[in-house]
Amino acid sequence: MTALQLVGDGGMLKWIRNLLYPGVAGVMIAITLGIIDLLKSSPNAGVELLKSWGPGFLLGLLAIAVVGTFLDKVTSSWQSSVDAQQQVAVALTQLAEKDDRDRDRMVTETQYMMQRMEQTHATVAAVAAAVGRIEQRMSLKDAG
Amino acid sequence: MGTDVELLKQLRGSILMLVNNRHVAQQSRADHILLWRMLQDLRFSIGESELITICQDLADRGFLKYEESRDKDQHGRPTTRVSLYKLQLTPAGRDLCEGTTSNPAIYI
Repeated sequence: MTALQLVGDGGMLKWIRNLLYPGVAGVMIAITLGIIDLLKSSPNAGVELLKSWGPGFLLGLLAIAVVGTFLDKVTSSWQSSVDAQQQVAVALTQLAEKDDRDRDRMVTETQYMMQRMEQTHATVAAVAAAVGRIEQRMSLKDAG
Repeated sequence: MGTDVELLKQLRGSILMLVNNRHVAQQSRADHILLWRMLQDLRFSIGESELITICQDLADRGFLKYEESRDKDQHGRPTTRVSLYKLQLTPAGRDLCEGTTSNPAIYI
């Protein structure tokens, strides 16, 4: 495999590029996050560090701005997502509680109706027994 | 008048039975709004204040107990409206529901 093949086909080069770009981006993000932390904790030291980089100073500021904006958007989006999820969870919980309350209420009412039906059944049975006894006495009298 | 008294006795018994059923099923203690709704579901024609009066009567008789709070208006001042929470039977109320005792003023 010649160097021309490597570059021409783009096989190996493309592989290296694919590996390199995310790596460089990751390193840049890590450095930028470090600088942001430094600027937050001791602003003067952070500025001195950027100045000591020379031409990289403006690049550093740009990176901070870009990554900062990106992180803000990610954080904001993430926060919105979490808020939405919390709202959905609260709504679902309320729905489940409402369902539970309705179910409990229906269970109580059903038990009550069954108790009343049993009482009614017992009353009807008692009346039927009394009528039976009266009929029996009357038939005994008739027979007598 | 006679019918009103009979209905009142029936209502007292029904309230005690409903509260007892929730206790037996280990459900949360009802407030008067839930009790009111259950009575309406069971076709009892009763107003909210009337229900509160009956609950107070049952408490006076020693069959029912609850926590009471006076509602407040938008300025935080107490109003005449009362709410009853955590309704539950006393041991005497449970005896009544279980048929261990009876009371001529209450139809169980």
